Amino acid sequence: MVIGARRAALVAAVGAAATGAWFWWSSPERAIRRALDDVAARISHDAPLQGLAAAAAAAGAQDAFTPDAAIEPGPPFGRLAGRDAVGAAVARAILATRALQVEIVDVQVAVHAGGASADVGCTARARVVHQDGGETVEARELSIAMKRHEGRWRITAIRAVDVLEPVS
Amino acid sequence: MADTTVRNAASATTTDRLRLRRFVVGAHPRRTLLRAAALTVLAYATFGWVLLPVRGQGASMAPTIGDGQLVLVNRWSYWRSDPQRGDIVALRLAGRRVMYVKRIVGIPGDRVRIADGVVHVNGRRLDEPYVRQRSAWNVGEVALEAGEYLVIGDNRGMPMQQHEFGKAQRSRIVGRVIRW
Repeated sequence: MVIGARRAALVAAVGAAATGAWFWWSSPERAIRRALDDVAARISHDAPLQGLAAAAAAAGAQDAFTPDAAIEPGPPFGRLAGRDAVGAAVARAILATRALQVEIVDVQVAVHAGGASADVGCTARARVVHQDGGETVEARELSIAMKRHEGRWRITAIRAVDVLEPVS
Repeated sequence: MADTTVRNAASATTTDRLRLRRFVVGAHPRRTLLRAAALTVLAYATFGWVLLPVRGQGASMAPTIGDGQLVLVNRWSYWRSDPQRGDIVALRLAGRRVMYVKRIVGIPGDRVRIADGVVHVNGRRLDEPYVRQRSAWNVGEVALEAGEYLVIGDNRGMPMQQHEFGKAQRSRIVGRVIRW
């Protein structure tokens, strides 16, 4: 079988593009972005969630954290230590809100040497519809530590960055 | 006779197509393409690097900037000068997709305090005609060091605990907000 030069070039170009796309899709940076988007999607809800649905959403979000994960959300919220505490807090947040849309944007990933851990800088934006119908929009810059745990990227720590240093 | 009618109809269709083509791409398609490309590059450069479009969300800057209002952030406004008291500025968080929009009430070297919702700078009451409602906000005196700005929203009617304000570093300021 003889393949023409043009066809060979085309096959090579398609192969190179496919290989590049595969590397891009399977890179740690991309996997980390997907993991964060997944957490945001699990927490978000358009309509009030009750009992089991809220628990299932919280369990799904909880799975994105390592067992020893710690969250420092900053005032007025206290520190959360451990995956179970994170899951419980997520469940409370879901039950306390009529709707919640969380979005992670401006994600910057720095994977450490060895590829088993990474630091992530990002902004989390949340549009909250409270039970009384009131609506608020919150945005926080977050510093997130992640590591590969049981075959996937999980969050080990989240710290809210003070964009505005409190004065009160 | 019938042949002439068909030809006339075909001719009219061709003329319509030519008109439409001329309307869409002009008399000189190559020039039109170049103009469109130049406009695209100009718009991308302007709105991607110089004037950033930002949609306000939330009530912290009410009534000056309402929820959903579109404003522009001029990234070059502080190229040769420093931010001034009274300027509305955009402050970056992790990037530029989500930013805080606040008003500067204190600049480096100022001593600022808030008593019953009224801002005092260096011992004098700050004239703030843009503030319509005031709650009983109280903040002790804050001294601003070099590179520090005190920023706050115009909506002082909301509870202080729900209002994001404080000291911002100069490096956080993306540019001055332009309203229209």
